[in-house]
Amino acid sequence: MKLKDYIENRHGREANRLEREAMNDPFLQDAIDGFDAVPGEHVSHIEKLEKRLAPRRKGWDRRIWIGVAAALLLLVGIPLLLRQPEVKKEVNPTISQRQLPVEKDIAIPSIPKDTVLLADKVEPEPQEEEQKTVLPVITAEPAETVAEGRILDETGEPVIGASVILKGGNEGTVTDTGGRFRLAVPKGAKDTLLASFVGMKSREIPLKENVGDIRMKADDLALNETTVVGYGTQKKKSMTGAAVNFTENEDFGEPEFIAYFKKNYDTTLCADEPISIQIEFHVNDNGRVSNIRIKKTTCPALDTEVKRLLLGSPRWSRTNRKVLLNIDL
Amino acid sequence: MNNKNNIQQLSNEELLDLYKKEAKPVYFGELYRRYIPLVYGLCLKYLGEEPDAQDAVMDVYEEVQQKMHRYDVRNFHTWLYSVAKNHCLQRLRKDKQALFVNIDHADMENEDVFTLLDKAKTSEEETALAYCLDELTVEQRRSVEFFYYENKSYADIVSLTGYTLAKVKSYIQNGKRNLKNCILGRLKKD
Repeated sequence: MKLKDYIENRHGREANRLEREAMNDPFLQDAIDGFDAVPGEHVSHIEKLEKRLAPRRKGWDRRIWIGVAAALLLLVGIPLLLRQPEVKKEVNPTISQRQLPVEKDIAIPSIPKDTVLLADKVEPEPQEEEQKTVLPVITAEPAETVAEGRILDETGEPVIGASVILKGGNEGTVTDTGGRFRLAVPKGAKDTLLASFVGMKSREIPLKENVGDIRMKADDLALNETTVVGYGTQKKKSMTGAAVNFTENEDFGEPEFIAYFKKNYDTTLCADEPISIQIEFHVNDNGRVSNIRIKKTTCPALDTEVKRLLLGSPRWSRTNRKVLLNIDL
Repeated sequence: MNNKNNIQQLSNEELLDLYKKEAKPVYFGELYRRYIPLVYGLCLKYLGEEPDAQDAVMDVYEEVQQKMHRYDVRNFHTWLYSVAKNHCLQRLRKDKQALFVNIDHADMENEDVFTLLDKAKTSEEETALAYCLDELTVEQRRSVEFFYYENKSYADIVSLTGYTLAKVKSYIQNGKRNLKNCILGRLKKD
């Protein structure tokens, strides 16, 4: 069975055979995992990609035709264009004659490119467009100083995109591709800087102009949790810090959350009425929930409970999607 | 036009050899085309987004084409796997800014032990296998039996048992590991 067929039909002996093959072939296994983890019209996308990489014989013909057409246009077009200043020709015969050879020299080597070049030749000075103005760097005001430094991980590699903020202030920045940051800070500020990054333990840095190199350590708990994506967990750690009894072995989705909600919500709220809630939210890459919106509810008092339990739930298994969930009790 | 049909009939190994000898783009093009589903799936796994994965398939195409000239590639399949995977992991580090720890295949055991389930066994192996199958949890045993004895696919097993897909995979994997440890233990005793 081909992988393309398996994507659409996971049943039967042939599917089983491919799955067994995948146990020995990490490449195949990763590919299957990918198709499992991300929903989409995979076969049609694959076919589009195949077309894009199809042999270019036809492409060459098209290019040659475009080239020929461009050449013809130039040959026909240039005399036509030059006809316009005919009146001037008699007055300044030498100038127009000079123009001809110059343009011809430019025309010939550029045949294979787009025909847009025609427009360029008509304008006498295309150079203006090419000059880019560089915006002047805004210098810091005297009432501010700059704190600079570099964030590295435990191995000494720069951490790109770490957030560095002034604690208690509004200033913040992000480290560049070298792990460096520059943060404008109001003079006299006696606060500390706070550096943070996904999967690492946040660090407080005393405020100085030259902070130097700061090492950040991996946050062990976070790392272990980020390893598992859509394949089924292999660790049996139970989660700490959340009011749940789920172990990481089990997957978590809509039905699981509904059960979790039923177990954990405050039953004194809206005790006498049937409860019907419609929630919309987003599941992030790491299985955490965000952008929670309560669309409909018969019990507004439960709003905070819903949000609390969604935010504190175990990590969702199927990630990176929008979820519309109905809870009816 | 005849060439087109012939190319599609060549095996992957033949295409690789021909490309190494004659360096005609058609050979490489056809070879890579055959690998598009694999590369795309892999990129989907690591990048998580369809457009990113599609871009990556094209980028890997360029990268592989260039690298083929530099290295003498023996096993295209495994080599392409590492090129594609490294490409996606690098992309992840730049874009997603998350430390991605890849542990998946650390626990994937050698299939060797599992030929036991397929091939003829000595009576010792048979007894050990029977005993150890019994030692598994219900879910693990059912999943392993469906998969190995009845050749049911993961999706089939989901329908038959009501376990989720992730659980089926987990039961089979853990079941295999437990069987392996148990069987090796029992065979050693003699």
